[in-house]
Amino acid sequence: MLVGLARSGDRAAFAELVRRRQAWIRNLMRRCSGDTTLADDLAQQVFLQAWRSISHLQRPSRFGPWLKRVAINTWLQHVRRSDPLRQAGLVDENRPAQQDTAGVAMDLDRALCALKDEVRLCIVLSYHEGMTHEEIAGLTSLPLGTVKSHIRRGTSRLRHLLSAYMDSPLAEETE
Amino acid sequence: MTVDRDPNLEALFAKAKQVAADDGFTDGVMSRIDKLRKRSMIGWIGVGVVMVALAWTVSSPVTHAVHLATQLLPESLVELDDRWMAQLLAPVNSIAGLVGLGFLGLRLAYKKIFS
Repeated sequence: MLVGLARSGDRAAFAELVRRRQAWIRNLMRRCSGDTTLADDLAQQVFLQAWRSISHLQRPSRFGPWLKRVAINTWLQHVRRSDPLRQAGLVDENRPAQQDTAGVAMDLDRALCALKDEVRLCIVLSYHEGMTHEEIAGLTSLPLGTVKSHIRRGTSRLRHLLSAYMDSPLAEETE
Repeated sequence: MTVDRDPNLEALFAKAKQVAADDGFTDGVMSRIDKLRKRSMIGWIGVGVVMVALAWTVSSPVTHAVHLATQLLPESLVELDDRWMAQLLAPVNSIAGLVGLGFLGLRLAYKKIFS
């Protein structure tokens, strides 16, 4: 219903949609970019783009997947325009595992920034969004084999970069 | 459906999902949307003003040209004494007919040359 109202130009309905989905989109952008300020700016762009094109959305029930596609396209456009951020800093492989969420997020973002753009995107969509390889291939227009190899390679690299967490009780406790 | 995720990494990703509070994000988005709407409205008003100005500027010459054309196009090419024959041949024995035939000829030639 909210989506239907937003499609007809209802500002308040769209604001409510933004309020409900902002955490999801901002988190997704943070994992992709590794930078909170940039992530928030990109997330704003995602919602602006959504506002511009929501009238073209055929099925309101598909708003979530549609918004995710808008987000991924926004990120891909950003990657094409500029050298993706390396501002998250270098990964210290010997750094001990952090216990707080902010510390974990920072280490994870730094490790993700060490991956190539395509590999990082596939990893984020797989681990952060819980998408299957087929869904990722459909969303990113990458061949399925490439997606699989990106995820395999990315996983192995992340395991190495975040080795401090791999045996940490933190991983087990949050499962 | 292919899914083969490392459980430790999965747990890390889950732990790292930290944004929850809106902290003014929605207001920021809505304020940018309002600016966008204002800018778009100003753009449309600008387009409207330009269109009106353009119509006002060219309306007189266009009207004049149309008036001339309506006077000139029915003019006979060859004066015929027989009234009925003149009426029968009017579609081809006029400047409009000549223009029409010329257009058809050009079209045929274009098709022959380029297709």
